[in-house]
Amino acid sequence: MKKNFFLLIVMTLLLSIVTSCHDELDTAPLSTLAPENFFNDLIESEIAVNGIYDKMANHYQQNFIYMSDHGSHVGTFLYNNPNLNSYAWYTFSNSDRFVTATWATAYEAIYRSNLVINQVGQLDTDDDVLKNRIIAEAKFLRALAYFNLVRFYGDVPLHLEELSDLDDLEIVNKPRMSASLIYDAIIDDLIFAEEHLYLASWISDDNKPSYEGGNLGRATIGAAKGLLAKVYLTRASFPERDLDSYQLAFDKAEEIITDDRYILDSEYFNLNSLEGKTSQEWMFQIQYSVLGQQTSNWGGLHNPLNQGQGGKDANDWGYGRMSPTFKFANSFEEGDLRSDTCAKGRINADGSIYYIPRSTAWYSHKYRFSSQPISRFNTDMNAPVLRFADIILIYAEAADELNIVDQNVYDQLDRILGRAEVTTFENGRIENDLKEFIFWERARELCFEGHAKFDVVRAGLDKFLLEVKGQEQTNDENNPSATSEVSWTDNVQPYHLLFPVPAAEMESNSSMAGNQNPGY
Amino acid sequence: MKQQKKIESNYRSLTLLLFSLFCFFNLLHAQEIEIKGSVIDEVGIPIPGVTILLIGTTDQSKTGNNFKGTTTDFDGNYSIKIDNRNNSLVFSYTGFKKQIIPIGLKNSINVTLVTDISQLDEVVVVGYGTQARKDVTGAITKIDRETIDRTYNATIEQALTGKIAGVNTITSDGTPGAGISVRIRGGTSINANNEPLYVIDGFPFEVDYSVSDGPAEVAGPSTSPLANIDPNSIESIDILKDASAAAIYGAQGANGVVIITTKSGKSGKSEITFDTSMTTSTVPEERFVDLLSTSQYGELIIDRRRYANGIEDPTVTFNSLTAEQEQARYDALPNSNWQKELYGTGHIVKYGLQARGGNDKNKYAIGGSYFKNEGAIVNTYFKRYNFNVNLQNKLTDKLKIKTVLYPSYSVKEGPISGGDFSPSKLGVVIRALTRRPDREIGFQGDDELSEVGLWVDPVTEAKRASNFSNTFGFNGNTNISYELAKGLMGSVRIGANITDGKTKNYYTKDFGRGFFIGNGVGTRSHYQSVRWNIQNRLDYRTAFGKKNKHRLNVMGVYEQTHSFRESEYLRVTNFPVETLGFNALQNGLLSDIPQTFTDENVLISYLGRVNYGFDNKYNLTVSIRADGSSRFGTKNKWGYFPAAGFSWNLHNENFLKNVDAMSEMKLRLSYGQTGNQGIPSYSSFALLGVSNTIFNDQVYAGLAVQSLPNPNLKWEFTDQFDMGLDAGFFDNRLNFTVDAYYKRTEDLLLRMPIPLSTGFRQRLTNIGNVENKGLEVALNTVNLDGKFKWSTDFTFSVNKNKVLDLGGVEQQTFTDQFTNGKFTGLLRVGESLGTWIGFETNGVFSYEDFDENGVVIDTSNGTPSTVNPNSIPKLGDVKYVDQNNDEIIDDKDLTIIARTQPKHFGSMYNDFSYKGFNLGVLITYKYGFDVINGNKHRMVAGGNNQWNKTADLAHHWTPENTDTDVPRADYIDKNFTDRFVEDGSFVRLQSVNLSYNLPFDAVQKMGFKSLKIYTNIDNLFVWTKYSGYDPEVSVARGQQAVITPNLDYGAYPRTLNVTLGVNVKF
Repeated sequence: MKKNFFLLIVMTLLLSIVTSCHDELDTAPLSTLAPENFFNDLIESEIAVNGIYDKMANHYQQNFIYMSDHGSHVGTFLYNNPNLNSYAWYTFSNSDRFVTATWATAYEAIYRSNLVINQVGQLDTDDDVLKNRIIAEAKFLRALAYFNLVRFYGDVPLHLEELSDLDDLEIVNKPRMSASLIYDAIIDDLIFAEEHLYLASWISDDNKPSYEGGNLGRATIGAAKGLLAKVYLTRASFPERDLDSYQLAFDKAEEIITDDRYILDSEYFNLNSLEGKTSQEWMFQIQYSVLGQQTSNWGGLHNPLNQGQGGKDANDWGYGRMSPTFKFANSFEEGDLRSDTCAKGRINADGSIYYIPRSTAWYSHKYRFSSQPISRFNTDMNAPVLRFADIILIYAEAADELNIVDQNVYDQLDRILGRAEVTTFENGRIENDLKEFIFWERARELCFEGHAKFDVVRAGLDKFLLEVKGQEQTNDENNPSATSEVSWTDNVQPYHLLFPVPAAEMESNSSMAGNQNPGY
Repeated sequence: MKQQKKIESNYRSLTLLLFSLFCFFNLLHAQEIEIKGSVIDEVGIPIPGVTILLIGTTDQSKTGNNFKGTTTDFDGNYSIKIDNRNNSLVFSYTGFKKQIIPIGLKNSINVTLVTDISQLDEVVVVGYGTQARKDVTGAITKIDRETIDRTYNATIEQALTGKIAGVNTITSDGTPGAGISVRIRGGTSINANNEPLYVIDGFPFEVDYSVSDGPAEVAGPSTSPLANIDPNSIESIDILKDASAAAIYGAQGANGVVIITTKSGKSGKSEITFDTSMTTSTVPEERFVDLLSTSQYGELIIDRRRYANGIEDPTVTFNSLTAEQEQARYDALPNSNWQKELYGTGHIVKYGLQARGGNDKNKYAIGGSYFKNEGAIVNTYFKRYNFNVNLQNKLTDKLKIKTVLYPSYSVKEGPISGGDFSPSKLGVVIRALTRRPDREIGFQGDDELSEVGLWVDPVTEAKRASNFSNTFGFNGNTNISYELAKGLMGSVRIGANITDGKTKNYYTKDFGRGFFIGNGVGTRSHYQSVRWNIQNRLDYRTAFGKKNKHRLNVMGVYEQTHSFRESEYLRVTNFPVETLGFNALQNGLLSDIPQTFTDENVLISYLGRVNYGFDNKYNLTVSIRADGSSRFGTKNKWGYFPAAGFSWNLHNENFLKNVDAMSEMKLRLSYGQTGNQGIPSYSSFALLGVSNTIFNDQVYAGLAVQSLPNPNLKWEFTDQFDMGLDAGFFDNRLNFTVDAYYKRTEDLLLRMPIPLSTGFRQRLTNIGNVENKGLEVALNTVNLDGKFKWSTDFTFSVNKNKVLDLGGVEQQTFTDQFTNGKFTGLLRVGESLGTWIGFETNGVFSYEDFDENGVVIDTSNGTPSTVNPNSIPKLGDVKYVDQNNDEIIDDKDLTIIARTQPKHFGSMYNDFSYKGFNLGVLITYKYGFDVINGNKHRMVAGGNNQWNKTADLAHHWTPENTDTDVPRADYIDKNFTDRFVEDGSFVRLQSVNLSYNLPFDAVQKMGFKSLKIYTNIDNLFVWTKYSGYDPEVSVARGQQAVITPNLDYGAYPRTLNVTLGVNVKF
């Protein structure tokens, strides 16, 4: 009896198990969402578009700073640190972490944009205005990412669709497309963005919605127009030399100036401060906040190093990884307020400057903190992408190239010069070579904001070699005229106009074989 | 079925026959004589339960069925009635040699049983059961309690060190409670787990060091998941090395299986064992890293400017002091030895109490132990409380229940010794090495790196650190078995493994992490993991044929394992009041959004095995297992793992029976397939992760795809072939086992890089092959076998590992954790796993290398632009070898500079015993592998100007000191070169173990059954050329542990431990 009883139990157990189907193997993630279950409405779509901004915040970190300002006519790096000076010294390789990070973060943002554009595009909703704005934001950010890619690397792979079948090698291994096609895609996106984005919160217009104040930092119509002007100007410049684009750049810049929706901030040094994050001169910034765990490298990386005695307590205590070039530091006119963007030494706690005996150590000193950041490398400073002064300079440069410089151009330039408290055209300033003047005026106005390398490349190979190759440093504090050429000058080569495609892309993308930028 | 019935009826008639014979003999007895005596072992301890059988002296076949016998009682005494003085008594007991003593005229026969070293008679634990060693077809190594005791073991993995051929243990770090990586026959996987499966009393434990104790920010060296188990409660460990043995564990078996059996009860009078020991642990001063003294440190700083760029500048002054005056100033400053300050004497105490006993029906083993390790580094400790219950109840003749329970609780505290590149996260060991020697404890000058806050000395850091974790563990299972029919056993087992762990940290705002992150950081994390396992099983054993020559065992199992893990994590920063630390996170002003995770996975398995043996000559094992795992893609959840093994006991063949010298000779052949499922739970899914963003200083919710889906994800498969030979000669005084194997792993779970332009860097796929081939030899000799005994065990292993395929790409490079983003790890087709790339160097440039115009004469060496921007070498620069002869030193000159897998390794154990004394000496070695001296790289290349450096920098190049290969004082070079790679070959005097068993008479007077005093010296001496603390080190974990192993970076040094202990039984 007993025996049978146990036999029964065991057999039942075994049988029940054998016959059951194994649904329990289909476990689904419990703490993470899957894309298939997302994009149900516009609220979720907006959350998805926010993820693109987050990626752009990664894109605009130190990698971007080193690549866009070091090794230009404006910025260099003098402190002897082989890990960090490879962009200033032109010793980087194609496996360098910053070359890789800039490329990778741009494409990560593009992946996210493509997903949003496709998924939100399929969404059935009765609020087409918001729906189109979300798509337009994604397109704006995609355009910005491609604009950086095409300027840094030249021809690049073009992904405009949601990445679907990962086992399809044609989709995964995209070849490089000509820069011209990339520009076409950028312009398409920006035109859509200009049409469907909202206006900045402080602007009101009966025909277009404006963002509510809390959304400061989202792409706006102004941002799209401004970026479009900059894209046109860049496309017209070296190496694309699509000369028709000068007119487009001029028209778009003029439109922005005429609209009169952006101002020049009355305080130049307010712009790159925490208080200036809301300045109406800014057309687009990437937003950061330490408390929100999106920390910025802007400012912390630039400001003077304060090792040892002196200004450890200074608010502008930084890492000193951005030095102005000797020529740039000396390009300011007497009395130019903006010459304070270069400190010829360390900043003391009281704001005074501690001059360093051997004056090779200049530091950038543009970013101003009203109190010391919680940690120097992680600041609250926004990444400067586009501001109104840039539009004025684009306007003037395009006008000069088109030979249509008129009084209005000088008037606009005077707005910048007046703020800097240097001689204006109105007060008798004469520039025989307006092109050269604008080149250096852009440097003085926009230095350390991530434009210099692009500008010196845009100016053409000869100008690039002239301004970057022959850089000088001072030899002696007591004799400023005693200068010598920097020791890395021979490293600068014509092929450095473009950065190399990262090794990680070259190795893993079968369509890339043999198609590295020349020289690398 | 019919046949089975027939067999059963045969049995029945046989039993009847035996019974009647027995009765017949009983009737025959005429006059009875009583023989008395006692049975003791070699050290004089009585052995209870010895079987004593009476046999006839004449032809065995006539008296073979004489069953008269008895057993010894608790005190080892026996008495037996005999009727024929011509007969003999046979004394037998498991683990001892059988003795046959003719009775003759004796009335009292005292016997000393001698330990049986014959391996073939022992019972080994195979997966899901046990087998006599003679019947085993796979490569299985057993280590018993005695062997375990040869070394000092704080954890189970330590007990494996140096004892088994083919098992390579790699200590990651010397932190109390830290884990040890175990590689059985080399690593098979690149991304999935490489640790063996541990099976403790039938319950599977997966160990994966890539699972961190907490978020990266606070993670120190990984804790061993087995750290909570008391190594003293182990009875034996069986290591399944080949596929025929391990394939029964299918999806979890590719890295081998370690089966641990805990002590169980035995029948007889209860026996209580009390064991206590005290250990002191130290870092011997001669193993310290040689560093600069204050005077040498000063000289180096002075020479940086005096001989800048290799040219003397006689005008240089130091705050208006001349170089000589400055040197004199340094000479007068304090000269701190930070290593001496940080490494004190650690104390370990251990108490264990065990009781075992029972009768035929109920047996028990219960116990508890306490272990406390106050580490050699200031303010580190590890405490552990263990309890164990092992009950075996025979409810009826057919129904048995076995219950095993072992709860534990442990506490760990201490500063973090490891650490990544970031200066704020440097552990105390790096701080001890780099802190300038002219400072004293507590000095708070701000002359150091400002980004880390106060640059405190390691002692202050260690004292103020509060990293605390506690773990409660519960393991238990109950097995009910019932004999359904003769030879047919059914059983059900239910078990659970519950771990509840909590980690608490507080980092003060003055320095390090707390400073960097912002005004103090407090964290708390908590996890609970529950794994339960149910096993249903049928076993059938039978023998049939003439003389039962055919033996057949059949087993079928259904098994299911469910795992859940839940974790929560809190982090608060900005503490105006720091006093309460992690106990009051509410004192912080800023808190992160709490994070919570739930993870679930399921493994369902069916397995079957057939063992067939013929005439004790041939054995065949065939098994198959089907595993379904929730971790894989919907299309590939099920994997099938077959195996077959064959063994041939040659010594039982007629043609060898007469070779007297040969006592055993067994040939084994096996093939099998195993799998690996050691990947995170939801790897086949596309996952959306939090990606919040900022608008106008406010946080806005954001989400983004963080990983790509792969619905095709499937098992990693390993095919393994093994050929082995077990042999014994001269009455088993010489035994050896040789195994040769070939292992090939396919469909590697590899994080394949995909084009960055897709928006992702990698995707987990099944691509690529790795092979391991090797040879293992274990040799045991009894050199002397009298009153003085001497035996020797050798092990020797060679494993050659090769990457065969990486899914079409030739090679892949990876970053490490200490060179700040350089690609130093290499996977290349044709190379072994764990290969490092860097630059080869060749001394330093001196005058003879330049012609009169200052141009380098021999262009086969140069300087990269990362050192001198213009690539023109200067005096005192390191010479880089121009591998491709293009006269430029760049990434194209990177070459393999380190191979980390030992060419061969092994051990030798000598055991001497005389009367109650026993001396065991264990020596281990590894030969032909490289160690990456990351500490040195951080000090010399990647560090700060003001840090202290290794002592060789005292011999830096100067215009006066040109005959050197150390570059000049102001030379800055952050590259990873062969200057930081060293040969790690070593011979280690691992353990010296001396014990004395007091004579039984003396002990008995004290009221004890036995008393043993023992001492053990662990890690006594290391012969090596390596300049760091210890060449056996590897701090990386997770995938880095495979790609960039053997890295010595901030590891807590291994200590020398001297133990004194007493073991009392009563």
